[in-house]
Amino acid sequence: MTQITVNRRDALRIFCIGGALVAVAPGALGKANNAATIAELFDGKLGPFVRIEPDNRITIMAPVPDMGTGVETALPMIVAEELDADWSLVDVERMPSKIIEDTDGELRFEYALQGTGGSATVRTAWRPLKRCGQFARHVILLAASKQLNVPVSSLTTYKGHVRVNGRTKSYPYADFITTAGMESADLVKRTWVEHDYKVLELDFPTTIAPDKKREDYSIVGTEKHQSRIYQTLTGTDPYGIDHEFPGQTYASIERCPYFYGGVKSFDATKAKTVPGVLAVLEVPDLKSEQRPFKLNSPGVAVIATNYWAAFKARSLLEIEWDEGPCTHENNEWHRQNCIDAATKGERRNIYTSGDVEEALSKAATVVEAQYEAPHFAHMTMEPINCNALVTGATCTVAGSIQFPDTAKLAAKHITGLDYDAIDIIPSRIGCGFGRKASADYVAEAVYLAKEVKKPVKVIWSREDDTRHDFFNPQSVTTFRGGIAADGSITAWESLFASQGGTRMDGFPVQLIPNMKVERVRGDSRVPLGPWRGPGHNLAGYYTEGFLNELAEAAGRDPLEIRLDLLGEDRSLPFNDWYPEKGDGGISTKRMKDVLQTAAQHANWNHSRPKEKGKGRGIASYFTFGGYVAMVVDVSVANDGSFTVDRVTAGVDCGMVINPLGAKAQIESGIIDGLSTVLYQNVQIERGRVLTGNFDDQRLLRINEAPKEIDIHFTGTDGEPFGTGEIALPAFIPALLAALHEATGVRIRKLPIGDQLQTI
Amino acid sequence: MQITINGTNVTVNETDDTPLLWFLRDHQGLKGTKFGCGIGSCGACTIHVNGDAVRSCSIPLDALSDGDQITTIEGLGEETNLHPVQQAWLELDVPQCGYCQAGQIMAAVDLLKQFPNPTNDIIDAHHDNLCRCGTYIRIRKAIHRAAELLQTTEATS
Repeated sequence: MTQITVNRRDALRIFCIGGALVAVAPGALGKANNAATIAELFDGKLGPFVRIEPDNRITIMAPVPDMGTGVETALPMIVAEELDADWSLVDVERMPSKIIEDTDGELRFEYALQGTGGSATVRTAWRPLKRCGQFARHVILLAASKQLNVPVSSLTTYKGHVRVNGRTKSYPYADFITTAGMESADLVKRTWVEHDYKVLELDFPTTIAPDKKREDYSIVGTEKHQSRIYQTLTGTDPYGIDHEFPGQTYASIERCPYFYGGVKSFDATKAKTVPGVLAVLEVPDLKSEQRPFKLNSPGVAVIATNYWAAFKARSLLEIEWDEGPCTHENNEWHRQNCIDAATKGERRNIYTSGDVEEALSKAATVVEAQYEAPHFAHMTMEPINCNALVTGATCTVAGSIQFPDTAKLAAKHITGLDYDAIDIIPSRIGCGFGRKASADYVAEAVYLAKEVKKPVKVIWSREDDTRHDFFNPQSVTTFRGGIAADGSITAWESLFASQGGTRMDGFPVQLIPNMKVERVRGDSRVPLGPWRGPGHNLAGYYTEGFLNELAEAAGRDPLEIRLDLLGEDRSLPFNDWYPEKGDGGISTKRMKDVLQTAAQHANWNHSRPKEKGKGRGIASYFTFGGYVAMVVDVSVANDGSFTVDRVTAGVDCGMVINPLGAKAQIESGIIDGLSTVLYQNVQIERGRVLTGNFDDQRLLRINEAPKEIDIHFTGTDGEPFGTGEIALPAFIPALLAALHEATGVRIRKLPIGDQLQTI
Repeated sequence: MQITINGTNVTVNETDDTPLLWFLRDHQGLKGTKFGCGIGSCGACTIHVNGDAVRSCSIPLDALSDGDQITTIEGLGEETNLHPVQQAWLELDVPQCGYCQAGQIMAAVDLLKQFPNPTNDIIDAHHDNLCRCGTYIRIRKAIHRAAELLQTTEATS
């Protein structure tokens, strides 16, 4: 065999030739590939994710950084399971960003999705990571077979060891790692696979053992502590804000407070007197014809040898602002704009069945309601920040970033460098909730680093973070519902009015005979972005809230009416997105299961005697593939303050990879839901955001947290789905129903504020 | 001015309004203490000065005194020798994103010094650090567990 040195990059390029299916099979790509061993292809690892250390510990790469989602534990657990590793001997490393251009010049993740959002991480990683675990195990078995001179079929594995014919003597995996350059690359097939994103997947010949049987799992489905918890607890796991380049400088930017405004002129004389200040420069509007949408808020940056100097000097800047085109916008204007849009705007249909008008005219009872919600801010625990270094030929970005591909695109946009020359260093992320999916903060930092030719870390103050957020849309939804004499719901009409979108394809769509579900766009221009359960966060509050109103008007148990609407077990088509949906729809059975589970564990009994000041509510909702039902118990004091005594949740997210982590996600969604309905209320005046910090935008503290949360998973048989966003949309309407039962007050406008003060 | 940080003597030349938080992070390279709000509200920057929990974003350097002893998360315990509060946080798997947890832990250490066996009401009244992931249910449990561990430690020492 001709020995040709193939470096990894060449090999990858070869893999990419041809587009849809690229196989590296014997002879398929000539001699060059026969010389490329697995070790060469994967930096000495067994595939992209697994490295067996000489002491038989196993290092597993976590492809997606953890932002509180538990994925640096759940994803390596999937690999470890199929690899048959001993979890107590597994170390998890954060995987560098592996992003390549595909054959169309589009950025693609090389091995697995490395971005995180849409509750899609576990869902999307599940299959490729299983196969990577299988691949690594397969290579070990082939090597063991050669070294021990026995057929592969005689080998089994157990906790990081190989056994022959079931004999008790076992060989650590590490014994076989150095053998004969392992196997050659002809084992590997790499395929561009359309998930929700196009992903270059590893594929293997059929000789690899089939998926492990569910009953043989010893890691997946068991409670595992977070893989990097020691680093977290000792303050040593680096977040984006902790990253430092040699010669680091720090920037603080005074951004134009007005939506789509800018800098007219500025005077930096005073700012430059602060010791440590290195430069003051304008950050322009960085959007372009190629990227015409809002990219960043323009402003003036102070760069200094330390953050405090930059921050202090910034307050001495004298800037005249161009106030932009939105100074007429404020909270009341936004509300009125939605109401006007609802009457005059062009309606877009989401779902229609039957004849709503006729059904309403025949109904024994007609219920009308108007619901509304303000803008929500993200206020991630780690304020937005980004560190960038641009030399003539390369650009390196470090930061807390949900989507490294989006960051890479922004860096290319600013620097003009090739993708190959841009590296995005991942870090632990101090909350994301969708905010760190935007690239505004990356673009700014890269721009400044390019201009001053030094590494620049831009740290946003909390006020910067809040005022230059991409918010969850404010909205108004109007409903009409019809109830027949027998208490059945016969008509449902909803109209969602907002600058932003919604996701109202879930139940009760398809369950009521006469329905019209529509939306209409307002024309405010507040910067919007994904916020925990985008579209669903409000759709749950609205639709489940109104469903509870109809149940009451019909004199029916809100659990019973839901089970009745869901009817017999069936899968219905689902028009909206969820990760890896494939041919999947929406299941009435799974929704009934979570409802009944929550009800059972909460001892639901709607006809029980009511206690003064006590209330209980129920709701269920389908978010990104996950079914959730909640029963919430509250105690309300005379002054309108309340305590959440207990939340009982039924959750079907399919198979649960790590029950400890999944429970944390559900608890998190519940607490964020409570925080949101109590407090989220972004104040906007003259086209700028006034809300700044945790003093004027309170968020939930421990004394307000639920006393008890009881979570039950019901979907253990299905494939895994995400859990990060699925709890909040079901929790909010269940809470509001409980408050209604306790007080008689129906909350149709967020935040709750003083609406419960009935005295 | 001479102070100690995690038991090491440090000379402070910057006697200005630089907040202790940024002195620790930018000048001392101690990144475990986090910036969250800059107004002493969220508690992500909680450290100990002479054993008391303070919010370091709101303590300017010139408010420190000669001989002050500062402890940050890096000085509380090590991976191989966790402080009982860190041990309790481990057992309850408290963190999610983890960004606020150094502050939560430093605050809890001080809380347990004042209230060695706190009730939930005491925790609710005195533990006021913000967590955006909502780890509060586990924080409550972990503070109770830490109280047990601390009492065991004292009994055996």
